[in-house]
Amino acid sequence: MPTAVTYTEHELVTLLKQRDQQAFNYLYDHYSAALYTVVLQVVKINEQADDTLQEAFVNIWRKIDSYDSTKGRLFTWMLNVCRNLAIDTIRSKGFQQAARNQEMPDDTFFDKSGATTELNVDNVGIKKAVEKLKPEHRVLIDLAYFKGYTHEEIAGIENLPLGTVKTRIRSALTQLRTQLS
Amino acid sequence: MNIQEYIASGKLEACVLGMASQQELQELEQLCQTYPEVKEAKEAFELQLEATAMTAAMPAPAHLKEKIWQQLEMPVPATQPGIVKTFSFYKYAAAAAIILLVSSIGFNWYFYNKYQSSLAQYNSLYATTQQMAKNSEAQQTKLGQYENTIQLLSNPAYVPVTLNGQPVAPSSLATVYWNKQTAEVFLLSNNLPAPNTDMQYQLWAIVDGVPVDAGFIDLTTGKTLVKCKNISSAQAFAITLEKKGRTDITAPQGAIHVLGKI
Repeated sequence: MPTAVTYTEHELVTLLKQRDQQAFNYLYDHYSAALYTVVLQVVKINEQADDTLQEAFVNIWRKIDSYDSTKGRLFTWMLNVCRNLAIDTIRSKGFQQAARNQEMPDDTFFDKSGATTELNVDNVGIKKAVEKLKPEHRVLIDLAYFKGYTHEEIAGIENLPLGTVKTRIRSALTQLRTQLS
Repeated sequence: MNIQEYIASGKLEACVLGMASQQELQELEQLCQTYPEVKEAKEAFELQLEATAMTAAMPAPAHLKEKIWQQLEMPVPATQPGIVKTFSFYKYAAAAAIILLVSSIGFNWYFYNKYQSSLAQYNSLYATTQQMAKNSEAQQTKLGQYENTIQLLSNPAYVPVTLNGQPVAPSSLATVYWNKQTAEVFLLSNNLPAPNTDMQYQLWAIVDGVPVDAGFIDLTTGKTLVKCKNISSAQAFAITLEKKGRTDITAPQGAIHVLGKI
């Protein structure tokens, strides 16, 4: 029976900080799919998502020393690295250009039919939990988390007072926690 | 600050998800150091988030790994099939076996103790029953003897002969019941003091002035009739106290304790 190497999170972090390539290999095999899913949920175009994930893992390897385990779990840190890069990607000029070429019809992808390069990642993982929220909550989380807009930007897009946006996002996040558990 | 209110505010989730300001992050960090319940709530949310993200994972394209390793100028490792997560059958089997073994040992110990106490109870009950059976047997024997005594006393064929105490033992008293037809002789010890261990009473029939041995008297059966040797004719009966183990038992050597004429 082949026994795959497994690590506790503490062992994994220690080995990664010692530049252990086997540990990094494990990290990729273990977490890349989950992180790729989140990147796809933000970026939505495969080629750009691939590039983003690549950059993310390069950063994770190179910047592992900046990870502080007292501040949160390794996955939380990696998730934030990936999401930040994904949001940088969709906000870059090059991406806007590529997106126009893809002729993205809308943001929700619900009524989309026919072959596109996007995979349907809208009904899995974190996004699935978000989809269960009330519509007014869901829209705000989508704008804030998956599109990376600031509260001020969202207030402008949704034509809502800034205070209302902040309150609703907080409320939405509390709801999201119950959806995750 | 109300901690429960903070935990329910959504700020904690915003921090974990990277949607919070630097100021909010610092606030959470300080609260985590001060209040364990905040830290617990944050860690719980992180674990939920991770678990949710891990359940529905879309694998990245296979070529991507190679590209990353090339960019990092590291030798590309051999690809491992699938997600690395082993559910070793043998581990579960071993764990199950250990649990079974431990519980079996527990049960063995429990039942062994039960067995031991049951065995002790059984043995004590068995001993009690045996003792009762023995007692009952002894009672039956005694009862039988008394029945025989009463039967014989009420039989008119037996002639009672009272043997009265003589000068050496004035208070001694015994009665011979003699059936002249069958020659049977029974003795009832009304009052014969227990002799020394080296002495024994002997019954004599006086036939034409000559004593004839009628047997030694066993006093251990209590106030019951003791069968003696058959005597076909006699004019009197007497009991002497004799030394045990004397060679000639056909002639008395000791003193006469009781005597009675027919």
